[in-house]
Amino acid sequence: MRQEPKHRIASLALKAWRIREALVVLVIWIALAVYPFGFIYNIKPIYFWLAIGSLLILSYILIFIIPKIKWWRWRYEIFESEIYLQHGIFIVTRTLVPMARVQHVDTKQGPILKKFGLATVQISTAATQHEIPALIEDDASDLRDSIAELARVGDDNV
Amino acid sequence: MFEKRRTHPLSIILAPIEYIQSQIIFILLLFFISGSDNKSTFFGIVGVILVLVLINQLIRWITFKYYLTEDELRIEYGVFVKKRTYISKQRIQSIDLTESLWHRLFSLVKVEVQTAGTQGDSKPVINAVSRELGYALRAELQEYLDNEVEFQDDEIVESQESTRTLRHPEDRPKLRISYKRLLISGLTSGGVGVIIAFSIAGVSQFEELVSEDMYEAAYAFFIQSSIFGIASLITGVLLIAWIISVGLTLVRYGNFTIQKNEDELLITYGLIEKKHQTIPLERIQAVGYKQNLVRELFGFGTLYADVAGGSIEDLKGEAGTMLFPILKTKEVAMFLENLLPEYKQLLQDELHPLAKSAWKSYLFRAVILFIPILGLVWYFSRPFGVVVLILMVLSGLLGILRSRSGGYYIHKDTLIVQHRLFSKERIFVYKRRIQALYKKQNPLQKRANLATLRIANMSGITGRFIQIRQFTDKEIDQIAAWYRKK
Repeated sequence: MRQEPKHRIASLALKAWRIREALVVLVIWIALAVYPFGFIYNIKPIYFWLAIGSLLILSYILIFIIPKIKWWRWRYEIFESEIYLQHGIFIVTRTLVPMARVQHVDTKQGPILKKFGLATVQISTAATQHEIPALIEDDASDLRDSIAELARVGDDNV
Repeated sequence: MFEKRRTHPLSIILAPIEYIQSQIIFILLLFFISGSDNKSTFFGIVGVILVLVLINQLIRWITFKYYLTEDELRIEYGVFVKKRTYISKQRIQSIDLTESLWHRLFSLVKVEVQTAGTQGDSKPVINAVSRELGYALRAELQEYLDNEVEFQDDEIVESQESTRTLRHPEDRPKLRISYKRLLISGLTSGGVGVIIAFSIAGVSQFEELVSEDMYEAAYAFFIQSSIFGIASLITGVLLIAWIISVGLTLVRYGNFTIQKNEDELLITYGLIEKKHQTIPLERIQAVGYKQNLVRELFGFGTLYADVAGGSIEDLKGEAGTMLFPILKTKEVAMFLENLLPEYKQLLQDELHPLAKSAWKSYLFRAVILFIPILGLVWYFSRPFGVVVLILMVLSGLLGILRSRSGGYYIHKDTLIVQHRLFSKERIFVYKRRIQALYKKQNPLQKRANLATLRIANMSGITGRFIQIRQFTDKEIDQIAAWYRKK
């Protein structure tokens, strides 16, 4: 586990994630604007603008910085007998999943990923779930098929 | 030999009774909450529900039929939608017989069939059959399993061997708990805390029953009585809770017996509610030995196994399926030698400890939450502040103890890990049973070349994760390399 896994996920993923985060942030802003917090309009202007300012910074972090780190960190590599993943923003997690333990592989895509022609590969063992998020659709289905193939070869009990 | 049969007619009322028994606290709660004006509504609702349940059970009993064919156990029931479950005998993993108090009154047993894929509600259950029939049913299905084993063995010698063991069940390794041990188990179980927590929760539920006067009387008592009085009161409460917890252990695990059959473990336990459980050896994912602080002090511990599949509640303690409620640490090797020789190395190796500097982070995590609380409490009340301070020191000590308990050992294709939350726990697992292995590292750990090891294995119908912080980076890489090697 000394070396990082080799492959990055699709660079389009960054865009897709930013749009998803932007939607979340938008909902927060709308909620805060619509919901009549009595005190929001009564507090001193300086505090009001401070609050707006920190919300802006938070939005910037959520939309631009975190997806960037997340994308930068995400790596995967498929070996003949195991899957090797790396992800995490502050805590970096590296995961090894032996092919022999893989029970099934799926691809899935939500509306945003679909728009960008991306898909996520989901890998399940008897006890755990793993994901390789946001790959180009074709790559994702190729990956799914080859994992399924490799998993079949190394078949044995639970 | 098994034609179509209904279950015992008493099953019509057994299931509702057991349900009521399991929900009794909730029902009592409803009873008290409903207040004095609504008592008739309460009884009305309960009555209607009861009638509906009984009708449902009656219909179920009339339509529910089970029988054995050449190679299947078949269960069918339902009025409009006939549900038929056919379970191939080969697919059956184990057959569990349970006798609740009610079952025992009428010499009945409940038969639960476990297959690899069944979980939750879809699990085939035959609610109540006479005891003889239950055992016959199990024997029938079990025999099939044994035949299967014989059939697969080509060598005649081996097959004779297995018939021999079949004929002499007393030859099989068997262990029964003594009453002295059971008592020790109860005394050290740590159930006191659980009981106190439950009683506090229970009492707070019945708040409206307690009148103002009682509060005042209690308050007055506390104000007037000396420290000694309060201390003896607390001691008394603890003592009672302790005795109850011992009693519960005796009733629950009385006559705990474990026996090895060809390729499965048979476990029987319980004084009032009797349970029989079979664990197919091939489904054991890991074996663990757990010692709480008191047991550790006296050299005792609990042996358990993580078993894949099966139902969630069976014998399920804090972790895994109990193999024996209490063993002396030095008896563990012998026990495993007899019953699970593949796992006999569990306690025999010296572990590689955590990194030298691990105690700092464990200490930090153990006390950090106390600091703001301490500040706040100290500000308002000095005496309570002292209490918080004492708790903080204890927690810190526990943290350091945790850092000293962590460790691992690799031998061939087996991994032993040890960690502690409150209890010290050592787990023995084969490489092929580890479902995934993780290495986690936060920036602080990275700077110190440390990391967190996490492994996932199967337990019940979900996964179980074991996470140990502060091994050196290099050690985890070595464990990962071992894991990757075929």
